[in-house]
Amino acid sequence: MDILHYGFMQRALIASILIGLSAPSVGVYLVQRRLSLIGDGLGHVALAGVAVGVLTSTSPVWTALVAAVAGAVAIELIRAKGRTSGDVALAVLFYGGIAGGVVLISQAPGGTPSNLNAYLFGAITTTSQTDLVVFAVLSAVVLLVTHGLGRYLFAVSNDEEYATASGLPVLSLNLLLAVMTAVTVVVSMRVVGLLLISALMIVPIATAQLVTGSFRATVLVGTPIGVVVSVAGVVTSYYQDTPSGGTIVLFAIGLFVLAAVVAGLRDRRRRLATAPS
Amino acid sequence: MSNDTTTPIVEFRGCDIGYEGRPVVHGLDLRIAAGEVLGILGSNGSGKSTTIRGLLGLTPILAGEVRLFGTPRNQFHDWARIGYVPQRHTVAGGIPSTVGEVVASGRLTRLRPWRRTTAVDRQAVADAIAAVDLAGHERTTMTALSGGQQRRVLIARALATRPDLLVLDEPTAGVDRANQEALATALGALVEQGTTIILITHELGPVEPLITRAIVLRDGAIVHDGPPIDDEHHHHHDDEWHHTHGHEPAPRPGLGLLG
Repeated sequence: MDILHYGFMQRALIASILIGLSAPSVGVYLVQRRLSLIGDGLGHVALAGVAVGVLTSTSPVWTALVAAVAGAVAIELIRAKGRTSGDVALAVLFYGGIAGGVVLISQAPGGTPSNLNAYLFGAITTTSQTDLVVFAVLSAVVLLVTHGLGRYLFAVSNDEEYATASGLPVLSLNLLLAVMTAVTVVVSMRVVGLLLISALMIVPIATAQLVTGSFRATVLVGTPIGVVVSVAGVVTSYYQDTPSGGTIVLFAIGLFVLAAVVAGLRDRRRRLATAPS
Repeated sequence: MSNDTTTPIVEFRGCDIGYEGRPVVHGLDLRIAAGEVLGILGSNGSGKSTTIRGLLGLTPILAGEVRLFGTPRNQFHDWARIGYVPQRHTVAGGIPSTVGEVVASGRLTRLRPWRRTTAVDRQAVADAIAAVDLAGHERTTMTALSGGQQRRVLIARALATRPDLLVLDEPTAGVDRANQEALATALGALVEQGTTIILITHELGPVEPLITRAIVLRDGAIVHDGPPIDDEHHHHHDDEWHHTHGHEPAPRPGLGLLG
């Protein structure tokens, strides 16, 4: 394994394991709530944060974290108001984020929007030692919250009205999940990229639920899928010189199609077996 | 907090319930005593669902006061004493979940965050599943069950805390006769244990003998309060309902008023 001789590859592989673990752990609740695209929107918002970081020569990881968390809180508060205009408000927030990001970063010294590629689609050479420490801490928080409070997040995601009637702190739990989504977006920004992170939250879970029959099993199968496709994507990216985020997501989608075919054949066999002759 | 027979389990005092400037229920005064099995009747849009949604905090109380177990609603925290079965027939999130998982989510108000569940919790979940006659289905995926069975799972979820008050919104609507009878048996056992029950219903069916008191709502106000309506009257009510609503699939009282 000559690729492990390079420090940047070691860091990229560790980062890919961290994001492979955290993304599906958050994503399972987003799929359950049918909010699959929220991670995508937060990626857009995080981009504005990245631009601010580049412009002010601050670490873009921190500025992206601030922007994504602020965006996540805003989204949940808009949703909690339950107004029909909420949908439009979200669109304004998302596209405001990406438009602001593109314009701001073009103002950076020597900056052109093409500098954004690594942030948008992932790159294996960009993870620094400091990034890795931050990602490890953020991933640990995400895993602790999504697994430690999993029962509560499940109840709220499964039936929000019932959770309200049970006296659960529904708004706080929704805010918590939104903030964990934002944190995961930031962990993804080096190897997966802000435009592709949503896929890594959703696709491994969508794959797992094709072959499982319970929420718990979906988490237990979806999380290793996230790790496997992330590591495979980073390794392939090294040998084939492709953007790591895109490669990871193509692996995830490949597995999804495979699982869909397998599940389709299984269901067909079951139907044939139970059909009256 | 007292639970003697003189403190009503639920008390509405002059309640207007609804949304900003559009109360659906007006000036509601209602006391429900321990052990009562209250049927709430009325046509679509009469305020049945709004009444219990006000009780549960799902629809705002615009005026007046609701007291639960003698405590004003906004100071009430003992949610494990109340079980709620919403009107929807099914639980359909994006991820497959099992009967056991859904019922266990009803147990949360008895748990502490970050703690593992205990044998007592698991037993309560198993008992709740058994109470609706679905023992052995703990690991069955919800979507593999019929609509009537999913309905019973939601009742089991409400029973997982062993509540003193059970609130059911249209538990029999769109449910076949066999499932209605399974439901009536389960509710009968709860009544024997002294559980107070509030039940919204269009069609009384097999649960009718359990009801000790019926109120009829019309335009957001009580027009009848007393013993269950006698058979003749009840059939008349049924006919009237079928006449006005017979062609609507799955009527959703209350919601129609918002438009």
